[in-house]
Amino acid sequence: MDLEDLYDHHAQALFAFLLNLTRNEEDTKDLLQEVFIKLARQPAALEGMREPRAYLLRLAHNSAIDFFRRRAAREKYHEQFGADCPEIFESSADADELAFRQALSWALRDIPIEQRAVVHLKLWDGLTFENIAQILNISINTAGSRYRYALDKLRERLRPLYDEIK
Amino acid sequence: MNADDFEKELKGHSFRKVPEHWRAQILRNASAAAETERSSSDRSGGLSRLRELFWPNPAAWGTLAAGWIMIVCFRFATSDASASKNMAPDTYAKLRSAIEQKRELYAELNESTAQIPAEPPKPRSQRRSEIRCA
Repeated sequence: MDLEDLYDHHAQALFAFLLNLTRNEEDTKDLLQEVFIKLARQPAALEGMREPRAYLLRLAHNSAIDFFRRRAAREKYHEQFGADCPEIFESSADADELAFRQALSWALRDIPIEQRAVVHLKLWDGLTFENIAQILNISINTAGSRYRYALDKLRERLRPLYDEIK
Repeated sequence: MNADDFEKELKGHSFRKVPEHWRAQILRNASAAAETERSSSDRSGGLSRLRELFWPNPAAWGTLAAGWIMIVCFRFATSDASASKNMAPDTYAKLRSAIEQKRELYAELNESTAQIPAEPPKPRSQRRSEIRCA
């Protein structure tokens, strides 16, 4: 599979994952660029791989973590991190749905990145805890517990709106 | 709020689409970066091949280089000396003829001064005291 095919198959998933982590479109673009540069430099990296998506998500996650470390060292990024909350979900013509998406976007911003990564991979990429554990280089139990903590926070935060809408 | 329902609700919200114009930029930059790395690795590959060639016995290669340097220096020095040898007789002959000319000129001058007759001394005019005495 050449670079263009890889982009067409996986760029959307990587974009969503990185945007959820960085909450910044420019940073997301830089990191997506970084992932594809790594792939272009090592064209044989994906040969014979059954789950290229998992490998690419791991590359993206590692790039994001490196990026946060660099930023943290340079300008105490974590203090300002996610101060603004860009639209990470698609827009909607339905006002209730739009309101829920905005609330979800803010709620995701307020949970730690480690938990957010697990929630994203579980909910929006449909991965198992085993796969998530491999991608994030953590144990399966850690992946499961991070997911539960994050989901509890999201539920607590979104309950009023969710009950109102449903 | 059922846990499953809540998770289904969250899953139902899809993320924004990746901007279409990124595709060309990202793929172009990635290809360019890979090409740059490939060419630099080719260069470093040439260097490493040279290193492989020379490294097994650096002392031997160093000795050989020193030998060549000595040969070149020796050749340079001897060619310089032979050049000065070639120049010397010519210069010596010129110098010798110049000395010879000077000597002849000096001899001629001596001869001509010897042939000129000496003028007789002019009569001395009487002094005032001698006139008074007479």
